[in-house]
Amino acid sequence: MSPLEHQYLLYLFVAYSAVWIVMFGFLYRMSQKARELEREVFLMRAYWDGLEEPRESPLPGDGGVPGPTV
Amino acid sequence: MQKIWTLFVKDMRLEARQKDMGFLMLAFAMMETLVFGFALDSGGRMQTDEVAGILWMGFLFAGMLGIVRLFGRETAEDVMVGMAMAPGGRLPVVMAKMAVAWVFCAATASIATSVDVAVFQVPGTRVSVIVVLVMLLGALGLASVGTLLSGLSLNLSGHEVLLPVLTMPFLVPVAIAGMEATGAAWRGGRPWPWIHALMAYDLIFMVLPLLLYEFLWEV
Amino acid sequence: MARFRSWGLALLGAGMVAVLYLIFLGSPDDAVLGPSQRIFYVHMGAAAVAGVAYTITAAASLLYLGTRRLSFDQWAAASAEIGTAFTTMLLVSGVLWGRAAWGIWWTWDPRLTATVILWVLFMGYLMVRQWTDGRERRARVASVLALAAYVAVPIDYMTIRWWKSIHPVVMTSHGFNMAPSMVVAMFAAMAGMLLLFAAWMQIRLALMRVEWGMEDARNRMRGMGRR
Repeated sequence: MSPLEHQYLLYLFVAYSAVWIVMFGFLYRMSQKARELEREVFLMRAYWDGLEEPRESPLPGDGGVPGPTV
Repeated sequence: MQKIWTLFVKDMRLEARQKDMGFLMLAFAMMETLVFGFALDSGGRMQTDEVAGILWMGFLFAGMLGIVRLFGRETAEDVMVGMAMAPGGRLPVVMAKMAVAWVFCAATASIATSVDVAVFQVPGTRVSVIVVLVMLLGALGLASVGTLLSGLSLNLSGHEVLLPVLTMPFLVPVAIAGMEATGAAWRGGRPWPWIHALMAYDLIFMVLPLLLYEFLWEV
Repeated sequence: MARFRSWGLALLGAGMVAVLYLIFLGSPDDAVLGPSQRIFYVHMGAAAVAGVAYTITAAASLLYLGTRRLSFDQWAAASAEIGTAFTTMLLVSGVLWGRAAWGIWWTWDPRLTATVILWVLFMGYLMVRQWTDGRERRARVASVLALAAYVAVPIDYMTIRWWKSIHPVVMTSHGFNMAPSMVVAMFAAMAGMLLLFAAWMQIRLALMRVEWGMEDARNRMRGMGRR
């Protein structure tokens, strides 16, 4: 390996490392963002479940519709 | 066994009455070879390998045309549900469909081969036992891959368009092995390694639908 | 768990720089090919990840068909997506290396053909996922398709061993056809890429759960509006 070639390889290494660091920053932000979104969806679902709960059961005082009697 | 035979006869009778699958494939294979003949009007200057390539291309496209129809004709009136609910379960349905596909593909292959040999009069191209074997194995590969994917993509939106796109990469190994084996047989070379590869591939895709038939379509 | 994740990310960030150091400065030039040898490490890493990713897809598909739990389908889909990205990388690096080593960009060698077929198959898999409605049906169709497409993976692996191929065979039963420092760089590149795959997989799975959650929310909202 000639010294000049070694020089080039050094530049290549620095360039690729720089690209990788930028990309890694992006990856890190994506990771945080995905985590955050997942938590928000979880909260939203919990909220929604709380909201829908009363509708599942019949209203108080309402005996429901009587079924057919034989 | 009884169910396989019943379904097989049913498809054959449908074909005799409607002529919407097998005859379509035969006509398409013939037309395609003739069009290649006009386009490449070579007067016997072509290599055997090139002729083998044209033969397999025509065969594959014709086969895919038929495969779209294979389960496609069962969509009306929920025939699939009825066939699966009938005594015997789903496995006979898959096997009968595979048999039907194989018969039609083999017929298409024989027509394509004879027209091909007649149109491109390459010295040395002749229909030998080995070529017949290769075409039958190729038809088997087409039929088994086609049955799996056709059954799977039934009821998907736009399956007429989706299916050929999906089937093509699965059939490329069949096409490569078939072309090489046919070319070698015509040239007087050694087709056996390719025939073995073709057999192995056929075997994989014959076993796969038999393992996964339960999931091919839902009732 | 959170601590484990941040440690993993830190390891990935620093480790990849170390891998790049090994690739560019730590390993020698090839005697014949010269510096273009360095493409090979990226190529090998991408190949390892693609193989692992498709294996995860096939295993998750099998598990889905066995258990009918939709989280397996999410695993299969995420892994197939990332595996296809790495297969693209594999093909691109292979084309560049082929130009340097063989003087041609592309040839219809068995190995190259098999890899392209594999790539197209999983593109088809992703397309089918895109076009199919209904989670259960999509999962069922995609699982069967993934298992069929996975047939190409072992074939692809064995092509250079079964057929006469111009693609070099690096790993043989007798050891490695390489200098020891190259083997170190190769395994480092593989490990780095696998770590990257793991991180990417986590993000993709989280995003997929978010997508599904939002879909559910939308459907619920419609249901509420009707009442």
